[in-house]
Amino acid sequence: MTDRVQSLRFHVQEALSGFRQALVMNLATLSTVAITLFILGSFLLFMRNMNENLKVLRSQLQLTVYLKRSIDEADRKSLVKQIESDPGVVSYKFITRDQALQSVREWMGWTDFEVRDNPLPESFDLKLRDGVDFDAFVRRAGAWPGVDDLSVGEKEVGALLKLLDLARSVGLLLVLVLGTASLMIIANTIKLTVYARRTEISIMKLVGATNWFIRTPFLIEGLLQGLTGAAIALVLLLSGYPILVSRLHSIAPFIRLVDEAGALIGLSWQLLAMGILLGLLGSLISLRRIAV
Amino acid sequence: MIQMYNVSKVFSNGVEALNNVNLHVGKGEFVFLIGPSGAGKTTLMRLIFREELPSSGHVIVDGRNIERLSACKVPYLRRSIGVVFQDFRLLDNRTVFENVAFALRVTNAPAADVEKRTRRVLDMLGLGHKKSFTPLQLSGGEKQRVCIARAVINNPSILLTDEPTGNLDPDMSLEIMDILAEINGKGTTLIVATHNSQLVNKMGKRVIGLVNGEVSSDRPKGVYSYS
Repeated sequence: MTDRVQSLRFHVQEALSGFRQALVMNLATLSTVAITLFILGSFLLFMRNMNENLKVLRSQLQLTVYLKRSIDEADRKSLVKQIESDPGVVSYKFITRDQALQSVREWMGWTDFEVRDNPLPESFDLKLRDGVDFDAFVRRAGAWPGVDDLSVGEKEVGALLKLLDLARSVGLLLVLVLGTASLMIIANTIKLTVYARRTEISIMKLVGATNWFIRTPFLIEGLLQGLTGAAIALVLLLSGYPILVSRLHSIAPFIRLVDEAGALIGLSWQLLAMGILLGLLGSLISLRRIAV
Repeated sequence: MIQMYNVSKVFSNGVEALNNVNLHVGKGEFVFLIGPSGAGKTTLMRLIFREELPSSGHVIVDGRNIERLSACKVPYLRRSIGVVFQDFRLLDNRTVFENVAFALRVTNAPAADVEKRTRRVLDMLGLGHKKSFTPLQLSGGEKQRVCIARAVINNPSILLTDEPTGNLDPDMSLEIMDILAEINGKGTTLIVATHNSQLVNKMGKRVIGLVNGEVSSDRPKGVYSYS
């Protein structure tokens, strides 16, 4: 056991001296890792908040179904049956043509507005169940008998959903590209360290060091770069995010931001794990060549 | 201890370094390896500690066939072989003590052991008072002694030295040779590749001549002559 500790101390010392020998390059690597993980962290927080807000939006989902003017009593009855039996509908309200006109009058403020022939159709206001598949529901409702059109609000929610999907794809692509870049930069830094220490490595091989013994200091160096980069990114995120939350709350109180500790702790673990992964993978890439 | 059977070595660039070499070196022997530059002396030594593999033939070191040795066992073979070069190959950014202790540390030896054995080998080679110096502060002879210390600290059964006196003046060369003879006297098989005819003639040991990658002469108690 003490041998292990002693050997580990030797490796850590070697790794630190490798770090010092190429300080500027190592600091550059560190900043790249930190920036990558900062962007990844921001993206994860953004997605988390978007999902949270969307959930709220979904719970308030409402849809208006406009009926054809030519609808007859039998069709109307079968439509009501359809609405009542649909699992996506929580409640519904029938709006007559007169009621529709009245609400337009109130909305426009023209209380004495008279129309000879009311152009407004009859409609149903539907309150939808939380978590219902919105797109599928819209498709289904469009095919009900006697339905002429659906309220335009549906298009906006759909657009928002599409935007969120786009943001997710762009974010993932960004993280992928930046992650690959950091991986390459870490690999390159380690490769240069390996090159700078080639005499030491050749002597180590000569006196009978195993390959893993030779590799360990470089793995530790990569691990330290990844971990330190993640720590820097975390400090920036965890100190910047609460400021953003309070600012945004005063500007746009309707936007709900996640601020419970659990979410941020989860994020911390994710970033640290990414840092470790980047560091270890990066150094392993450049260590393949060290062999007997 | 070392056996070579029909060993040839052709490098990937087409250079033929060794051609059908047959050789037996017994345990505890002292052997000089002589020959003109480019005769294959260094290649022959590199085969012994498996830095190179033979193109054909077999190299057996201490009962181990080096071409059948798996990569993970190579380090353990090397721990039983000490190697000393003409150009020293010391780490200039470490002290004499660290340069020597390095060879023990990589074998995961316990710290107390490293301390004790490094001190002992440095004292044996008359370097005890220079242990905190760096190689840059040492003379050529001292550097070569540090190399020898590093090569023997693992108590190798074989010591390979490639032109160990190549960079040294005659007095220092003699001193180094005395040290090597002393190590050999304790049972270590010793191979010395050299161009120093005076030393070879003075020591009166087995002399193997290599010319164009072939063994041209092999005489017990020989003199410096490879024709």
